[in-house]
Amino acid sequence: MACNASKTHLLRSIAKRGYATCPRLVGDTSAINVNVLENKLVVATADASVPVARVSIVLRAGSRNEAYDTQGASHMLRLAGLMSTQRSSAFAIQRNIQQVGGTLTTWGDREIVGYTVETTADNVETGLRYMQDLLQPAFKPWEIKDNAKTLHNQLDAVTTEERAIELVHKAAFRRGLGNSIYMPRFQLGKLSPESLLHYVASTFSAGSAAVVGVGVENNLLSGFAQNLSFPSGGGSAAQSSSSYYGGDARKDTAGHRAVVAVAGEGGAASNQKEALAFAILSQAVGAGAATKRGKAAGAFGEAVNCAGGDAPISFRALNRSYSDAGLFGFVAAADGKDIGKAVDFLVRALKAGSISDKDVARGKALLKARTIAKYSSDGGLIKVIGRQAALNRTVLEADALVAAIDGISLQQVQAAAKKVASSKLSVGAIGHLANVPYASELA
Amino acid sequence: MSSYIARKGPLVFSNLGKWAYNLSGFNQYGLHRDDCLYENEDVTEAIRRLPRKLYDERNYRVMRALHLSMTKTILPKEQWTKYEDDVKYLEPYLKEVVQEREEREEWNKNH
Repeated sequence: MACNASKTHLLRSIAKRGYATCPRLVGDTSAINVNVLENKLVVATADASVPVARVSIVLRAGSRNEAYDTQGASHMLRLAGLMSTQRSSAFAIQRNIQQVGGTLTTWGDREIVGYTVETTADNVETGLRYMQDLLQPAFKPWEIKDNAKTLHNQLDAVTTEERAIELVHKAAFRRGLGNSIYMPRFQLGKLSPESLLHYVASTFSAGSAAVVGVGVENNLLSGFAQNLSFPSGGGSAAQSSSSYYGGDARKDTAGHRAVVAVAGEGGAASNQKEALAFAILSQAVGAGAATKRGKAAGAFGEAVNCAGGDAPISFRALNRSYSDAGLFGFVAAADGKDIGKAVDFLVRALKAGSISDKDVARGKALLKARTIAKYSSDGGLIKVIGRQAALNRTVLEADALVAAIDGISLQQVQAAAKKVASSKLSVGAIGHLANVPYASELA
Repeated sequence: MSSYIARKGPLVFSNLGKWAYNLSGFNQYGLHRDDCLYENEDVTEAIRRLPRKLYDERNYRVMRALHLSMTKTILPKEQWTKYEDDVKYLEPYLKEVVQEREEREEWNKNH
């Protein structure tokens, strides 16, 4: 087995080496080529920092497109990487990619589902050959049944923090964007192959998909993308609802811990300036510590210090921008008896609606550092450009994005803070909820 | 699912085939050809993949046949399975299972 894997034709390897572009330096950001095909499919490529090629097919099939009866369909699509397609069996996909040392992964969020294949640069063809089949999944009933255990394990592995974030989305948007990215438990085993295939047919279409690559030549990938066959009747899904409502979504569970996510209306990605202002704001008020095991500074950090005394409270600013709506707030976790006070103080900070220029400058610096970090690793880059290409049909280079962040004024960030302060709040909470306030009490 | 539609009746109709079918006798128990397949690994897997309705119908026919065998009787003639009506319900599933097995064997031979 091993001997076969390492065999390469001498001539071929020389030709490859001659034509391949020099990998960019690790930590450097790469230029991005964007190319829109005749069928409106977007192809974007960038250079890799190591001789590993990554290719993603990104489809607008995230959970926001699910109807009430098909909740969990996008989770099944993420699982479909393990299952047979109409052209090749699960066995063939898995073994052929493994044999060249590649991996096939699936990822996604509320708007998109992505399939990524990673192989060494000289084995791209094998990866592409099997990834293209994923556009036509078969969803055989027995395979769905066989993978039920995997699905169960995935659901069990969802952290309470993630569940609180799912709940706050539910409270904020109700349907559409409110759909969880994880399959609800009552849907386990209830989704028929027919409804899944219908979901695929209505969401997979060239006009709303993107093929992106890191470490692959643009014309090679364009050639591959041109020959992709999407399911017929593609893209008939109506744009799902994204109206903001606000309210409560609570789940009481056993134990002493409570995790609470509180959010108001944030910035939509379609309004780039506002979305960036919210991103800066989240970094400024405390989106995770910048140092390992450190404490997040900013308004939220101070609020928690005032509230907690010596009680351990973990918190993080929450900022989600979707193509036509957004959420901004925080997630906090603490013991059930401390959480009430922490949420009160954090909401007060959220409702303050003001931010100093010093904080904004710090937020900008943090956001720029985090953006560049994402762009400079191959694994991060493929997701960043995949998401942008699928949703915006174009990709911003790192320099342009950093310049755009620099261009956001103090007033714009303050306007963002005011917008969320005056918005109706949503509360998603899970755990020991005795002391967790309701949204109406926070107003 | 559309690709799993079963064939009804023989592949090529012939009087010889009809004679042999009726001589075999399983149709007098109301069984179909696919009910009588020896349950090797492939067949067991194919049976597992059957849709619920087909699976239940198969089990019903098998139980009825066992009961008839135990009581040393056969069905009245109008209930015998006819040569033209014999449904090869397992065939598409079995074909796929065999294909998958051959794919695995081929892979193990070459890698």
